[in-house]
Amino acid sequence: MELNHVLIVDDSTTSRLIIRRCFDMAGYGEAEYIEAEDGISGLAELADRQFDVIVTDVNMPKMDGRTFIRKLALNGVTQAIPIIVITSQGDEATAASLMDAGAAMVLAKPVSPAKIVDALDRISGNGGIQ
Amino acid sequence: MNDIQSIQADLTNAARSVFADMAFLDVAEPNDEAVKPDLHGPWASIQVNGSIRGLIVILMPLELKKALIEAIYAQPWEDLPVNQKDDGLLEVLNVLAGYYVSSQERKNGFLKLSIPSIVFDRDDLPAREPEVDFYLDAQGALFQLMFFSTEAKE
Repeated sequence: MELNHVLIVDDSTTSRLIIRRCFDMAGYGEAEYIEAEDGISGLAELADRQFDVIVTDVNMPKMDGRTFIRKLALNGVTQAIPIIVITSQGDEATAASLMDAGAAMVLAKPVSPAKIVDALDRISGNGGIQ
Repeated sequence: MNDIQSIQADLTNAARSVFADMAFLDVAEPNDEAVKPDLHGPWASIQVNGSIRGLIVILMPLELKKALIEAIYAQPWEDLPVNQKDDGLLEVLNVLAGYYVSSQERKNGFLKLSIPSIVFDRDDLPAREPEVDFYLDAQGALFQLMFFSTEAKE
């Protein structure tokens, strides 16, 4: 999957760093990464730029990931962008509800380069829950 | 296994997984002769809501915080700003609580986590004994996990 622009939405600077490092190690070090601290900031970034994939946490202040995903799904411009959710609560029921809301993949923290590669492969193909 | 034993077992397994995955640190039960360290703050806490409600608190000595944060950031402790150190600690607890909740949900149904927060000293914790309180050993550094139940299981 070709990635040039990636949006990472997570209130934790540590988590954003880990996610970005995993993308680097997965072979996507050349992509441009834009970071946002919550769903509201993420939406602001989406108003100004185009992204190939969005990575978001769920449990965030101001606007949580679930609301953020729903808003993207309702927007004709953003609804086609694949969303990878990376959350500390990656159980099957939560993952299924996030997929219903519009996520393409749901990964449990801690994320790894292998999980990122697998997620992007699945998004390119059939999608799924990991 | 009763609820208390189950909480302690799941917190232990969560700590083992998270310390290994995030910082390559092995976690084990402390031996009987291990000396309990001074656990100066800041520490971190996170609320669990659902059929089992409670506050998870992690307390650790400075040396272990340094080891965790330096492993995560791949930078010397001295080069990192305080807010990144605190954020790293919060993320460790966030992921640990996620593991814990995944295990507990198999027995107790859906549980929801709060956003983790920093605990500056013991005065910020509930003014009573926690239901679960135990130490673990991360490659020679003891740290403490507590669970304050905030509502009896229905």
